[in-house]
Amino acid sequence: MPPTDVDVRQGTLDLLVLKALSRGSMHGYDILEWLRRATADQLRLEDAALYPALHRMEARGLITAAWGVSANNRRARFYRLTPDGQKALKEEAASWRQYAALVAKVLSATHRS
Amino acid sequence: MTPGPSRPEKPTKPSDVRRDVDDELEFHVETLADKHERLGVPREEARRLAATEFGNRQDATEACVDIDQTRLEHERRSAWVDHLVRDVAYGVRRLRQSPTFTLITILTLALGIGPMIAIFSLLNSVLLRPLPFPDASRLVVVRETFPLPHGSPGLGSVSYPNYLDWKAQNSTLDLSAAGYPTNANLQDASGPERLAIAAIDSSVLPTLGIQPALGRNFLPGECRANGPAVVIVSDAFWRRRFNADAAVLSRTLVLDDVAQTIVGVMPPDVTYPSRGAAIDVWRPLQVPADPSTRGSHFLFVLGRVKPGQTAEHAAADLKHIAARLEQLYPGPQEKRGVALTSYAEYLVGRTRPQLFVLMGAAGFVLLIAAANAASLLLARAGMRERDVAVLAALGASRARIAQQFLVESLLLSAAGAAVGLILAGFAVRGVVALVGGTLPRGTIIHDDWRVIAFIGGTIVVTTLLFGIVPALRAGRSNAQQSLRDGGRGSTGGRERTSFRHALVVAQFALSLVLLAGAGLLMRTLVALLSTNTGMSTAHVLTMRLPVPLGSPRYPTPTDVVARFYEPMLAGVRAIPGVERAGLINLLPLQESGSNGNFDVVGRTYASVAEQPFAEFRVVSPGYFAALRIPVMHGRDVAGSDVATSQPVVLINDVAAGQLFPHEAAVGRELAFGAVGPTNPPVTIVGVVGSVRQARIESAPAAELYFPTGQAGRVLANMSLVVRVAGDPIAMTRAIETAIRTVDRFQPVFGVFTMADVVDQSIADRELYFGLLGAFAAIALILAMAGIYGVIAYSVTQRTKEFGIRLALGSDLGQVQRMVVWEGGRLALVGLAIGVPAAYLLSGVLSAVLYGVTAADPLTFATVAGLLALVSLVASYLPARRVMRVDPIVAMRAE
Repeated sequence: MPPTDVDVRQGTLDLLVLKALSRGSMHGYDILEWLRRATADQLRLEDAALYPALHRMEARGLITAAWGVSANNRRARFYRLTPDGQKALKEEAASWRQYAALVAKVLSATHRS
Repeated sequence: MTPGPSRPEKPTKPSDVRRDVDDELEFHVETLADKHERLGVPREEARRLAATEFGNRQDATEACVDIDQTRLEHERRSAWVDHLVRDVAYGVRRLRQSPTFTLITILTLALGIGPMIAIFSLLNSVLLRPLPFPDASRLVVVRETFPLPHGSPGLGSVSYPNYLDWKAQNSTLDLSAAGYPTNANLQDASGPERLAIAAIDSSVLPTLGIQPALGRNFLPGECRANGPAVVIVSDAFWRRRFNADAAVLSRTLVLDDVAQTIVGVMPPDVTYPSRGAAIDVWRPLQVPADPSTRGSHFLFVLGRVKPGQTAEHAAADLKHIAARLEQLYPGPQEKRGVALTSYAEYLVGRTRPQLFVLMGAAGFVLLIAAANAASLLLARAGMRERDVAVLAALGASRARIAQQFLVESLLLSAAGAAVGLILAGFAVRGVVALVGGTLPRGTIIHDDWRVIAFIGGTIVVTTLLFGIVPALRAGRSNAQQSLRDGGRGSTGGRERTSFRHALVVAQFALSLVLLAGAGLLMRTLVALLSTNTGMSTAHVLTMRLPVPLGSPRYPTPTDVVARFYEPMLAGVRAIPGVERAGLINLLPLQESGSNGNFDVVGRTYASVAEQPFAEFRVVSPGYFAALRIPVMHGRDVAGSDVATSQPVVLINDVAAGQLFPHEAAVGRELAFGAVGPTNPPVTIVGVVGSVRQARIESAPAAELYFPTGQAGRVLANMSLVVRVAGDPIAMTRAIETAIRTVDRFQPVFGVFTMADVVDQSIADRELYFGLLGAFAAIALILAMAGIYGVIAYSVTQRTKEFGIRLALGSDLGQVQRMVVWEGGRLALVGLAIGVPAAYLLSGVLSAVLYGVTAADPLTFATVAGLLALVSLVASYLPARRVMRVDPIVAMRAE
């Protein structure tokens, strides 16, 4: 199957962000860069759309934010996982793997009469 | 600076949220622009490309701002609750760590808050709770006015013909009439009982705006002379006697020998027309509509102002009618008018200022208690300075530290209020049990939402009163200095001391005001009790004997004298230990009176206003002797003064002085109304000493005494007066037995010694003095504790100084005098402020004082001296501790 761009589905973005932040504290730009590298640039997501997702996750207590200084010496907002966020990442990831395996199994099943 | 997050910053204002979101997105766009610029795109072009690449910035910003604002709002709320919960838990822990401080502070506050709650509970039930009638502000009492010899016209009861005319001719008021409460004897299986009974006409309940809870109102046809024997019973009586049985209707009660059918049950708490004392039974007002009784005033008239009318209109309307009646009936109506008073004002008008004075006094006690609590808190704050410094060093803001202190104060005042509530409960129950009847509406105390709101408000105000200064000081204290010098000897300490000194000064000033008030009332009571009442009250027993005059047993006055009073008096006099016995219709020292105008035969009067006016009483032989009232001229009433003999009267020496200043009174004749064959003149046969009739403080008025043998209806309600050799109360049973030997259905009630009767006549002053005296005593104790605490603390703080002084050769007495003088000086300043304050404030008492003026120098000097003495004792106790100071140890003390 040739690589095609994949739209980020609703609800999936949170999991990807959690995964990105599991490496440590990052600002929004870095999170996107990391996601694009990790998906070999096949992820199709508008930059602006990341921010409401980040703020929503902050409100839910999965991540916390703090102001700091970026590598290009600008004032940037850094996000970090909370213990709740780490737990959510573990659970969501497991449930995704299970779901994906299930879908894969169904799709690879041969029809018998 | 290394890249990465630094200290968290929390935006707190909505404008901050938007700026932060904007900054965050701007960083992203700028970083994108940097990337393009690095690839050689000019800066302006790079910005444009970046903006496009970023996408819909507007929507993203709005979404983020929305989310953040909601989150912050939520956080702020939960943070506040969090802090409060933490402060409460911390406060409880801290208070439990110092149980002595906590206990003393709670008790101090309880003594301050308790009186406040107690007085408010009384004030609420008497003054604030609405009357149990709808639209009660439209209710007015309508009374007749009559000329008094001196001053403003008197307000009196209404005659039945006048009531009927007013009712028929006015267009502004719905009127109703009631008789004053009396007593009736209930006879049933459980023995005779005396009931409070009042007669009301069928208009009373509609005027009040109520209906019977059960059954029906009286019908107009029942409210006429010789009407049917029907009654409405009170809610309390129905519950007590019939266990709230709904089948009570159409059952009968035997009252004064007559079976009465119960037709209704009144709603709870109705005591109309009584001011405060309960009424058990109401019967229909059954008075003959006899035009000749226009001069006979005995009704209590209540009106409800009609919709669309005002009390002013009604007053004008009735005045108009009264003027017409005066013209029509010049005899009985001469100079008689009409006056309207709001019913609420009639009920509580005289009590209101007294309750407000007591409320003010309770407020003073609370201030004194709060001053003590603040002083205790400040002394403790000295020991807590290190804690506070640590909190401040850990980043707690001043506001947070102050809040923590205030929460602790709030816990203390809430606990104080809880204990105070218990004290107040006892106090209120005691007051109601002892003197509830002397307070209007005082027998029905209900604590409702007003009391709960008042307690809540008192807790908050108290907390602020005693907690705010320590809290602000804690928030302001200098953290670093406190940590360095370990919380001792800092400037904060010195400031605190001077504030505590100011509190002591205020306490002494307030205490002096309360003590002066109590002192003035005490002198009033002493003056009342030492006033010569004109009679000897020791060893005298009194009791009331209402007899069913007019019933088959005693159809006429002659019957009741011959068949009951004379044999009964003979029986009582025969009891060993009984010295004298007699009867009177109204005991001395009763606020109610019975009086009227009359003529001296041979003199002419231009008008009613110039006729002599006197109190009228009916007495039996033996009455004057029982109270040792001297017969100064002529003779006493005698058993031979009967309906068929010459009508006679005795007058008191005040009447003799007024009527016959230069001539003998005995032998002169008095006339009551037009003299004729059925109304002969009455001959004066004796002059007796004067007694205080209405109140001890009212000088005796002219008084006429008629013999029982020549009296009429009043014989239904006589009081027995017995002089005995020993303890009067111990004779009660023997006397009752002698009475029942003559009539076994005769109930006896209102058994009091004459000394009790005197006490009852000053019960309102005793209540006033009792409460004010209790408040003053609490104030004195609190002020004493306050000055003791401050001086004791100061002695502890100055141990080192004392050590040095002693080491340098000061003698012990000198140092102790210095300490005592520190306290005495504060008290003196307080007294210097308190004396003029008390002088200004004691004026509010002048209406109830007797035998002493509100500015009595002796009282002021005595209480000031007492307080000065108390301050010296309270300062001397801690000063004695200086004796135990070892100079060497003291100087080493840090």
